[in-house]
Amino acid sequence: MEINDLKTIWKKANDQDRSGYWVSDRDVKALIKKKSKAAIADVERQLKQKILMSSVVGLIALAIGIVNLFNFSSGHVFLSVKGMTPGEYGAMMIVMSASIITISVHARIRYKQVCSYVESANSLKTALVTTRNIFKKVISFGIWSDTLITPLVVTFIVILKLYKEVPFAFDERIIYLLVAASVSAFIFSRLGKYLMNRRFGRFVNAINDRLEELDGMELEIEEEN
Amino acid sequence: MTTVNPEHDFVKKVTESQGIIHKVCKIYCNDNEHRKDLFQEILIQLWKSFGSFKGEAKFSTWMYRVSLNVALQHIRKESRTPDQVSLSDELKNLADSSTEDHYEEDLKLLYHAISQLNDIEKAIIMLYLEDKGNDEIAEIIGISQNYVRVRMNRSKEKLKKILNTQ
Repeated sequence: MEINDLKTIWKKANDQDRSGYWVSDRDVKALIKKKSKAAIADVERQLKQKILMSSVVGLIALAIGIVNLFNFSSGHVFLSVKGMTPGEYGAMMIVMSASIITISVHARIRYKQVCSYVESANSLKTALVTTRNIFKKVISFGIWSDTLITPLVVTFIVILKLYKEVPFAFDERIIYLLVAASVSAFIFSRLGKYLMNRRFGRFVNAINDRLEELDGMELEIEEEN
Repeated sequence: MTTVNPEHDFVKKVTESQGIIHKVCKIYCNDNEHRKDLFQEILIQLWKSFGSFKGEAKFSTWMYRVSLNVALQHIRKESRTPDQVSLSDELKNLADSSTEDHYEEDLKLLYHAISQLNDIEKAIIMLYLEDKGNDEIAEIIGISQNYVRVRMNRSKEKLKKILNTQ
């Protein structure tokens, strides 16, 4: 078979194809309403859930924190933890809510980025580069956001234990506190990294392979010139 | 003045030009389930990005661009088993390629040869077979026309070698 014959064969085959594979406009209309299984759609849904969850939890934590801070003189603690004064508890909740709201804001930024990409129609190379960048950001956001809250809670529990009897002072307890915070942050960031790579690692590697194919070809041509 | 319903407009245009999606699916998928899956994903993505089509490029160019983007990013999960695949009813009436016997030997050879190319070469060769000019191919892939020209010649040579050894 000669190269020149290819176009003829291709055209003939595609003309024949019309008979067996054609879908109706009604089918097209129904199909576009289906849920996408693409990795980017998965990220979009995940970010949407994260925005919703973090906004609700962050606002509740902020409300509890404010109520306790304003009430601490009266001694009544709203939804308190045993052994904590209303002021301490209120401050802790406000720090927690600030962290959660930060996560919510970042999730919103990433979500908007994903939406604007999904609604665009870039060239193949631009789309691959953009997708890779989005996934890198989403993965790193996922790692830090998923690991921020737990070490924060661990640190607060350790503070509670360490400074329950004797008030704060620059002694060896600071070392314990720093060790507890660092170890929990390390463990949870590793766990987050593992989970994110398990979820999206294969997809990112595949995108990298395709980009390498493109870049490799371009490099080859440049070197020859 | 009458306003055009975007969904109606989209469905009409895409139904007429759905051959583009079928071609992309056939080039990038080895089996029927994968092909039907990709067909659905491309349709969904075309609809989501329909707002980006402003008529500056040809509708077919826009469709190729989106379809190829989806095809190159359509990575299936390894753990997927046949009973986990839930295909929509709309796609069940698509003919099964294994039962369709109207492909000629040459076409089988052509598809087999194309399957030996890498994903980017597949896109370039498909657009060449579709009679697209270097400028349009460069626009769809996002590379220079010079690069398209060189790559096209190499892909054709590669294809020729594969076809001659078959």
